[in-house]
Order: sequence, then C-alpha cells, then structure tokens
Amino acid sequence: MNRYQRIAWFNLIVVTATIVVTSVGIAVEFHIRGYSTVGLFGIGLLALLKLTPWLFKKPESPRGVVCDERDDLIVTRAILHAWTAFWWVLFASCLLLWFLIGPKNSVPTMVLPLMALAGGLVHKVACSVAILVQYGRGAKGQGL
Amino acid sequence: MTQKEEAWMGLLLGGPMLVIPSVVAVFIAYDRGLSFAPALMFTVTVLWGGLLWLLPYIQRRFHKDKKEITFDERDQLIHKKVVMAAYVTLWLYFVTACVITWCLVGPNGSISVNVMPLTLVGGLVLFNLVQGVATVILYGRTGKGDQP
Repeated sequence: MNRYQRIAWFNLIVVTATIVVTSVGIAVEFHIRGYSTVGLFGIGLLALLKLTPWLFKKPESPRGVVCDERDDLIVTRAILHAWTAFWWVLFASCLLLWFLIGPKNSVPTMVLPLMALAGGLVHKVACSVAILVQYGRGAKGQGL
Repeated sequence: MTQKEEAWMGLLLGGPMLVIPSVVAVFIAYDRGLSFAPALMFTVTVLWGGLLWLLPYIQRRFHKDKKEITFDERDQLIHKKVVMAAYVTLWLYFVTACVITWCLVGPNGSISVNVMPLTLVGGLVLFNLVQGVATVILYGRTGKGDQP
C-alpha cells in the first residue's frame, strides 16, 4: 500500500468516525434533553485530517521516490471526480430542498453551513474512494 | 472550432443569452413567487442553453472530413487545469455564500428556500465564467490556440 492509499484509507476512517460519533452524540443528547447543542462538536474530529502531512511523511532519502507519473495521473483524476461529485451534491441538495419544502417556505440558516460541511465531506470521501478504486486491489501500487 | 473559440463563444453568447434571462426569471420567482411566466422563461433558457452546448459538436460533425486534429495533449492539459480552477472557485463561492448568509441572518434566523436555486444559478454562472476566462488566459493572446 503506497502513501496515497494510506492517506485515502485514513481520510475514509476519520470521516466515517466523525459521522458516527456526531450522529450518536446528537441522538443521545436529543433523547436525554429533547434538543441537541453539544453533539455537533463531534465534527471537531475532522481536524485529524490536517495531521496527514505529519502522519504520512514523504520519504526523506534522496533516492526515495515519492510518486511517478501514474500516481500523479491517479491523484489528478481522483480530485476531478471528487469535484464533480461535490458539484452534483450541491446541485441535488439545492433543488431537492426547494422541491421538498416548497417555494413559499423558509429554511433555518443553520442548514447552509451544514450543506457546506456536507459538500466538503463528500469531496473528501469521493477523492479517497476514487484513489483506492484506481489503484485497485492488486499489489500494483505497493512499491512506493 | 478550437477550444479558445468555444471559450469566447461561451463568454460572449453565454452572458446575454443564458445568464441574464435565467437570473431575471429566478429574481421574478423570488420576488413574486413561482408562476407560469418565470417557469417558462427559465425552461426556455435551459433548452436554449442545451442547444448552444450542442453547437461545437454539430460544427465538428460537419467538418469531419478535413482530418484535422482538434484536441491534442496540450488542449487536454489546459482543459484539466480549467475545470480544476472552475471547481475550486465554485467551492470558494459556495462556502462564502453559506457562511455570509449565516452571519448576516444569524444562527437562529431563517431564509427563503428560493435562495437555494439562486445560489445554484450563481454557481453555474460563476463556473462557466471562470471556465471561459481561464481557457482564454491559458491559451494566451497569441494565435497559438487558433489553429487546430
């Protein structure tokens, strides 16, 4: 498993853990208090994503090859797929909300930052999944 | 039609023929509620926009026998960079729009759901604008991109 694959797995685990912890936190708090304010702090787990440069360091040896053209191509394609997924999520969420709620109603403003957060998560997940899918299950990417 | 010509066509025709009618339709719907007139205006604009996007493909179909290479590796690289720039701008626009609305209205307030399609139309306009401008900039001012 190369560096990009390890980072992709790490991202997927962190995002999944965040979703699970936040959902459980909100559900438990809602069950006990009838409303939820503290549960959303589970989102703070996403700060772990910023640790990837330290957790998955590039090889320091002058002979250590970090990535080749194939890796660059895979990462570029994964990022493009991720942006496309984000665009579709934005498109669907805006229109679905409009159709479901109706044009004469209103939504709480809290929905907007949550939509931005969901867009960011979708981008991260799509990018990680695209990287893992493109490298495949074989040992092709284990050399680096 | 080269990529540069397509970008210029998108910038020059996209604004007056697509952006203005769709923004006017959405604003009418936002101001007076959804009625037949803005819905028809938006639908016609979307249909017209769809036909406009078909134009390069039709043009290529008619010039099929010339055996010209219209899209090489350089064009592909430029296209990738352009799409990436447009997506990043879209992301920044979306986050800014969400956070600014949230800050202006307040965390306990509410906004009309019509803001959602407005945000979407704004994103579409910005995406196409950045795509066109970035294509023109990356091909440069010289005639390098004019000859396929």
